[in-house]
Amino acid sequence: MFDFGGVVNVVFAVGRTGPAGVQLAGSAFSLNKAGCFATASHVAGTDDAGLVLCARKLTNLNEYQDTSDSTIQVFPVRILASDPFHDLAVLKAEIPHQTSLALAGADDAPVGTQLSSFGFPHADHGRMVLTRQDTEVGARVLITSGGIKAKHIVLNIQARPGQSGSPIFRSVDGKLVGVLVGSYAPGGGGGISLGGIDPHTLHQTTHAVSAEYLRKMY
Amino acid sequence: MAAYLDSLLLDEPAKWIAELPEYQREPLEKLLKDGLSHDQVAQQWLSASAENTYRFAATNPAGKKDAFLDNLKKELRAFLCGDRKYRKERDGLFGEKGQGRAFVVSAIAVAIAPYLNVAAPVIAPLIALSLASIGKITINAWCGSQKDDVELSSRGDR
Repeated sequence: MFDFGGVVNVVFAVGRTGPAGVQLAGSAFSLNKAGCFATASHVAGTDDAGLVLCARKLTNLNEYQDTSDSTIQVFPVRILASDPFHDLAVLKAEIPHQTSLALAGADDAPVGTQLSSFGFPHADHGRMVLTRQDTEVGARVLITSGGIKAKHIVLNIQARPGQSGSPIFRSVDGKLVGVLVGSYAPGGGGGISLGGIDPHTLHQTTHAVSAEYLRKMY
Repeated sequence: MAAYLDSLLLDEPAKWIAELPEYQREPLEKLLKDGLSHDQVAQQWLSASAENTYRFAATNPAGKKDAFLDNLKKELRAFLCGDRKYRKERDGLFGEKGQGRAFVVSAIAVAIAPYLNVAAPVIAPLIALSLASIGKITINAWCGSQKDDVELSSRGDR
């Protein structure tokens, strides 16, 4: 199994600064080029005014993350590239940070492949806890967006708001195969909301777009 | 001053798309090949969303309103047809003779983006599609053919 100990320096929350402070928007991760980070394009939106990456001081994922501590570090970012058809965006920060990320894709993740994702579930409630989830590939599907078909992986696990933009790695070697973008919901969901939760999303059919589409974006 | 841009406009319109970065070019060319108009492709770019997928962002993304494409076209018209607010950017662009279409698209996107509250890379493909839809015509002829529905803060800068 791959050692994901360094992931605390790879995965960040995306936020937007405003009068009330930073509002979390989703998850992002460092790419193998200085200052470049990837997320879902619907997390970055179309405007990069006030867009930031947020980090806590963590040395490893086993550390207890103090949920009452609202102290975070923020790094301004701008949108370097946006691909709404594949729901991907590359963000650029003026910092030299980069990783040795190995970029692969859905083709490298057959059904049954063990996967590990890292992101910030429940960020819509302001919770910023970097969380690991382990699962496996349930299916590989083509999903149309704006008339363009794209390769996606079905993850056999439930996800929550804030996890869009999370990197999906192969557990065995840490290769990036996907980016979490949402979950199956007939018609895209949004029809019913119970306590802020769409019941159509309460299942274990999570969608991640193939990471291969990132290759041409930075 | 606009002679260089005229030479680009009078060339093959498809080249505006062909010179976009690959990740933008491929889906746009595919949709155009499928028979969609430039405007329809632009709307697909703006409204693209994976079918039957609920997005797990923590907030609603900023930007993208229904009238966005119309607003972008108004700004493009203002830029090309001599609105004073774009004078500096126009002079800069038209002074850069010999630059390719990618540079022109990028320069216009950077100039227009702040007025639309969007990031320039997001609208670059829409600029390319709009320029391609103009067809083979000079800037002055095109501006003259436009309805006077944009109040230019100044004319005569062309």
